[in-house]
Formats: sequence, C-alpha cells, structure tokens
Amino acid sequence: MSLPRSRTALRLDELREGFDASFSRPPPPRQEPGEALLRLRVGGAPLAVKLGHLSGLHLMPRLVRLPGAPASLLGVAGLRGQLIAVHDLTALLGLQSGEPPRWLLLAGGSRRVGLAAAGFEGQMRATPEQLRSGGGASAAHPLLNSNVLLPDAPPLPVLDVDSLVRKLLEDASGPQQGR
Amino acid sequence: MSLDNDPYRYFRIEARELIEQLTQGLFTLADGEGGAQILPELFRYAHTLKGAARVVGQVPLAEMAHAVEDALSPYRNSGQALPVDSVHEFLRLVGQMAEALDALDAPPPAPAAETVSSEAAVAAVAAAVAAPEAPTSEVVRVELARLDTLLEGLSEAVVQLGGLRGVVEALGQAQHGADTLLEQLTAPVASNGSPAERARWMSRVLAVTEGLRASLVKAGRQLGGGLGQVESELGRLRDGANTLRLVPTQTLFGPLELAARDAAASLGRQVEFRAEGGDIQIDGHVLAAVRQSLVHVVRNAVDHGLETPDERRAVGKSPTGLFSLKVQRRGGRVFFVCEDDGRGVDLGRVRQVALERGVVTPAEVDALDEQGLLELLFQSGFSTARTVTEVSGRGVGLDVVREMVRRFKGDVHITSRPGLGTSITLEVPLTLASLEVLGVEAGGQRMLVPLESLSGALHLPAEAVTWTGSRASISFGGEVLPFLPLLDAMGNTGAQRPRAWSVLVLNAGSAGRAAVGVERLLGISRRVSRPLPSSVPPLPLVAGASFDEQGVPLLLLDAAGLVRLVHSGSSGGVPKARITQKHLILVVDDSVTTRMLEKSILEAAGYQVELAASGEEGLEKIQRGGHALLIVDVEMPGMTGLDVTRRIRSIPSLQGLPILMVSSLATDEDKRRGRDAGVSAYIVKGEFQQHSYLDTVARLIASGRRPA
Repeated sequence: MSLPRSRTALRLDELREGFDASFSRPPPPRQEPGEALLRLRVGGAPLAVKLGHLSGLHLMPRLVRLPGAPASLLGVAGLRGQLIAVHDLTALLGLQSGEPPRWLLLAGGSRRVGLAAAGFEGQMRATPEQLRSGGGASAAHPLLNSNVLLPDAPPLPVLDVDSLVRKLLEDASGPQQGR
Repeated sequence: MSLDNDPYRYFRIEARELIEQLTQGLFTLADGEGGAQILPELFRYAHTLKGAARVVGQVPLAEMAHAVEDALSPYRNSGQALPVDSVHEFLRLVGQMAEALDALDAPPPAPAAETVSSEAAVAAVAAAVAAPEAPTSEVVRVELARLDTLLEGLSEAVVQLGGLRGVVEALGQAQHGADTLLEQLTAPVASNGSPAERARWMSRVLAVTEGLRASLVKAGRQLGGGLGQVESELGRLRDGANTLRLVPTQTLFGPLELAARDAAASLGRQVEFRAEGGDIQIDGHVLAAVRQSLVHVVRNAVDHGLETPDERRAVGKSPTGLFSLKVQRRGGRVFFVCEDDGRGVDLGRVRQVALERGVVTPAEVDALDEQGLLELLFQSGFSTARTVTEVSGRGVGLDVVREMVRRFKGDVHITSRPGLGTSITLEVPLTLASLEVLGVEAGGQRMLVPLESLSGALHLPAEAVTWTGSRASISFGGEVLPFLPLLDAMGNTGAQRPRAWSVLVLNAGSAGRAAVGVERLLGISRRVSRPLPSSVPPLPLVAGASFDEQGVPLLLLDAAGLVRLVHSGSSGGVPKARITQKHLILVVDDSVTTRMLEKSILEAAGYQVELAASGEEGLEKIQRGGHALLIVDVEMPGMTGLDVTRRIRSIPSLQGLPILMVSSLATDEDKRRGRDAGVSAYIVKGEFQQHSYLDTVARLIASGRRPA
C-alpha cells in the first residue's frame, strides 16, 4: 500500500462527492415574485391562464375532426406520438368568434387535454394582491371566476383550467352506462 | 419511479416469474406428467424465491418459500416422484405466496393498523382491485424476439441515416459551386471585358451554374429518398415499440388455474380449468386489472357455482366441475367469457340477501325479473361472499369487478341457468391493439377500417348503386345491402354522386351487414390502434386512432357503429335489407286504422301484406298457408289474439310460424300470458316505433325460415 489508510479514505470521499455532485440537480431558479400567467385571446377578448396549470403551449397542429363529436370538440391532433383531444375554449366558455384557433394549450397532467385558443399575447406575472378570486355572479362564466387587477386596465379574467379539465373528463365518461 | 420509493420494483417481477414457474411445474406434476426431472427445477425456483424475499425483508414470503423448498428436498435427493396428493398441498402454498405478493402490490393499509375493521380491510382490497391507475411501477415482459426485431429496425434506421451523409457531400459541392459562381460574377471581365472575353466568361458561368444545379439535384434526390426510408423505418419502429405494451392473454391462464384449483382444494370440490384464446394480445395495463377481476370471478364460481362431487354425482354430472375461460376479440373489444357448469345463481337467495342488506325494497324486488335479479349481484354492497366462506369471501363482490372494467370503458354481463351453470362476461375495449386494417380515403381524409370486420371490398360503377331519394342499396353476393357514402355517414352531406365507388361491405356480427362507399382504397397494413383520449365522449363511429407518417391521427372506424348508422340512415323502412323475395305477412286487427298503418309500414319495407279484420277471418286465412309471419292484435271481439295463437299452435304445420302480438296492453302479466299462449314476440302499441317494429318483423321472419 502506497498511501496511508486515512489518505485513501479522504481521497475516496473526495471521489464520491465529485461523483455525487455530477448527478446533483442544478440549484432551483430564483423565484420571481408573483405567479406566472399566459395572456391569451379567446372569443375576441383577453383571458389569462396560470402557467402552472399547463404542461405545454404549441402552435396548433393539424386537426382531424371526429364524426359525432360535440361542436366544442374540434378534433384530435398528434403531438410527439401522443393523441390529444382538442377542445375549443371559445365554445366551452359560451363565446363567439370568427377567429380560427391557432394555439394549443396542454393541461390535465397524465390524462392530457388540449385547449384551443385563437391568440397568444404574451406572459405576465401577478402578485397575490393582484389576483382576486370570486367575481361571483358578475363573472362572465363560472370558469372565469377570478381576475388579475392591473393598473390602468380593466380586470383580466383568469380561466380555472383545473375545473374545466375535470368537467371535460367527467362529461366524457358520463353517459357510458346506457350502452 | 426509483428504487427508493418502490423498494420491491425488481423483486415483484422476479417473484412473480418464479411463482408462475412453480405453478406451471406443479400443474405438470398434478397431471401426472413430468415426473422426477422437474423436481430439481421446482426446488431451485423455491430456493431463489426464498433468497430474494429475504433480501427485501419479506419474511413471511421467505418462510413460505422455505417450507416449499424443505418439503421438496427429500424427493429431490431420493429421485422419487412427488405423490399427487401432496401436489395440491404445494399448489395451496404457492397460491398463498402469490397472494402475499399481490398484497405487496396493494397500497399500504390504513394507518390505524392495530384495529383494522373488517370493513376497512374490505375497502383496502376493493381499492387494490379497483385502482389500476395507482402509481405502482407496472411491468411488461417482452419476448426477446420482439425486442430483437426492434433493435434490428433501429440499426437499419441508423444505416439509412448514414446514407444521408452523401447529401452533406453534395451540398458541400453545391456550396463550392456557389462560391465559384460568385467569384465569376464579380470578376472584372463581367463588366469591362472584350466581347470575346465576355463570351468565354459567359460559358464559364454557365458551366459553373450547371455544376451547381447538378449538385443540388443530387442532394435533393438523396435527401428525398433517404428521408422517406428513414421516416417509414422510424414509423415501423414506433409501431413496434407500441406493441411491446401488448401482452398475450395466455399469461392469465396460469394464475387463474391456480386460483381455481386452490379454491377447489380448500372447499372439497374438484375443478377442471379450460382456457382458449390465449394468443389474443392486449395492453398489459388493462390485462393486469382484468386479471385481478378474473381471479375473483373464478373464486366465486368455484365457491358458489360448483357443487361438491357428491352433489354433482347425485344430479348426474361428472364429479369434476368445469370452469372455462374463453378470450375472444370482436371488433374493437375483447370478451373474457367465464363459464362454469355448476348449480347456477340461486335467485331466491339473491332476493333474500338483497332484502336483508337493504339493497332493494320488497316492492322493488317483486318487480324484478330474472335478469333484474342477476343485475343485483353487481350492486354496491351486495356480496353474499362476504359472510359465506373464506374463499371468495374477501368482501370483493361483483360490484367491484364491474367498477374496475367500467374504468376502462368496459362492462360485465351475467347469465345463469338453474342447474346448468353461470356465465360471466367481462368486456373491455382494446385500448391498444395491433390489428390489420384497410386504409381508405373519403373526402380527402384517410381513415382505417379493421380488416376483421370486412366481408369484402369492391369497385362498383355508379349505376350499380340503386338510389331511392337519399337512400341507396347495392347487391352483394345475392344479398341487397343498404349503402351509404362514408362521407355522408361522417356528417359531410352533399358528397358528389353519381360516380364510381370503392365499396366496403362491413360485417358487424349481430348488428348485421351494410356497405359504405369511399373514394379510394389505400391498401392493407398492420397498425397499432390507441384509444381516443379520456376527454372524448364515446363516439359510435370511431374505435380509436393511429398515426400516419407525418404524425397526423388516422381514425380507426368502428364497423358496428357504421353498420347501425347505415341501417338507420339509409333504410328508414328496410330494417335488414334482406328482402330479396317478398315475404307474405298476415295482419289481424279489428281496427282499420291500425290495419292500414301496419300495412303501409310493412309494404314500404318491401313486404307483401294480407289483412284480416277478426280472429276468425285471420285463422281461416292463415290456414291457407304461404305466410312468413302473423301479426295479431290481442283484444278483438270474438276470438282474441290469444285464442288465435293457441289455435294456431295446436295445428302441427303452423307450430313454427312466428307470431308477433301487437297490443295496447303493457303489463308484464299480459306479456306472460302472450308467451304462454305461444306468441314469439310482443310489441306494445304505446311504445310503437317503426324501427324496432320492423327489426322485430325481420328477426321473426328470419327465425321462422329455419327448419323447425
């Protein structure tokens, strides 16, 4: 043995640390204050979606219409080998627009649901004070029950993506019984 | 999922494999085959299992494996055969090990472990059965050959990608050519050379440009061809990788046979397990859930269905009961048909238990017919097993089985015949299936049709399609079939016609046959179909989807849905389009309105109709013969419909004549009286709908054509 035992142990610790460090995760990005939101255009009006509720934003891929599907279900699209059902936000929120959906939002975790929006206008951050929930009866739609309050601008409605996805999944599995 | 949050990840795979091997070996011994040479193998499996269980701290499992090993040891050493009696004891032990392993799969028990009530235990097991989506690490075993094919494909794709290197070279040449061209164009001679110099310059420029063009053409050709090859190879690879998720249903048979024998041994019954359809492959994820449900069905069958050997002998049956599992694929669904030849469901007991448990009120139970009573078995909270025995008494009733299959958009059905046995069918859609399809094009859209539901595909000139208004029909093999352009079926009206059609003749089993027209047939291929996403409601015309080379979804059409749509959309009157010769129907009704209404409906559907205004007149006409069906009213002055029916049934030559009773009476008692008199089917005027009426007429006529 050329090295004393303690030095071997030290060297081993060093190597082990180096090895472990090479696998360690990068430090978490510094949290900016507030919550990130995407600003979209749906039915000709602006609308915000919390970024944390989405798993992706894509240009709309080619859609294949499904015969017999409700009008709010635009069809299915392929995204990296996954089959995604694309639901029209305009129709789901009871709005009207002649604008074709150009953007696809992915939500719903493992059971992915695609939501179509006409426009993507950018990203923004809102502090908890700026995010106000409970528009109550005055909300344009029950799924637009909270707002972002911005200086010098009308309140921007925030879409409750989780409730919407839950509703879509429930509606789809509902009338199965009578088959 | 890492080993940290699932310490049993690999143990589960190994242990399940070892238990399966032990089971198979013991079965071989039980059947009197194999003999002494299997024993060392069995010993080794038990030994390996013991070691593995100890490593992961599963002491009870290790001890059970040790017991098996210990008990096998003397036979292994002496080379003696294992007595058949003790094989069952070994099977029981192996069954216990399998259960211990299943328990390892289940989520951890409720926190208040020291006072777990039986209800909580029941709930935990039920949750384990009903929660296939729980984040356990699911594992699929793959045949090496399939993996090899995939790896070969990958190597091929890599080689083809290498072929694209030539493109880089050609592009390099093109770049060089472009540089030279640029050099020439900026040369002084371009602006101030003599005419002779300029002519030479021009020919140089032309030559360089020509070279540049040739390099680009070469690159383009190589890129186009190479990319196409790589694309199709990668497409095949993707489909191949998808099929790795598919598991043959054969893998169910061993554990189920074990469960059946285990249950039979502990209850003093004898059972023979038969299985067929093991080559059908379905998604491992679905199969795992189905497996657990089937184990409960098997145990239920042995426990409640099969009689003891003595009881069976007493009723003239073989002392060994039979449990059979048939796996069948029909269209986009897989059926697991479980049948036993036991005593059948005791409906009296079902009624009694349902009342005791408050599942139904006395008034409700009285209103239930046989099927209604059987359906009670699927009601939540209804499980006779809970109190009766230990075998199926795990508190997991058929309600949990149904809940599980409904999770996969499937269903469970039960039928039972007293003294003859019970049949329970689990039906699940093929979530991921590798199947042969015919590609078709309609309205510019490519779609797929499963080959197994295709009776034929043919090209027909426009005049071969007979149009009546918006309805059409074609003739195929002497049969007239309703026809609909696929585009119309998909809701795109205004398709151009007349034109030549590529026609698909679809056979949807009980739903009948129909034809759809498409613009082009694109050939047959094998595709992996996946289910539509969870947020899509059930659609009758679409069974799933695959992807084309560009990753765009291709819809897989549902033949049964299409056939139903064509029948309803194109026929209006003609229910089954089977009327190549006109059948004569006698309508007996004292109301002229009803007579004429029925006559017009039937004639529009292509039948020949004779009328009678009283029972007496009807009886006289029917005896002249030549009728395919009698439709008769119940209430008439003089002879009633029931009287007419009874008289007809007493005439030997008319015993096979189908009789449809149409009446305004609606009670079950009325229907029963009709049946007793010999009526073949019963339609209530209040629920009168042309389609079901014509469907019934067609069905009865078809049944009457069979030789009695």
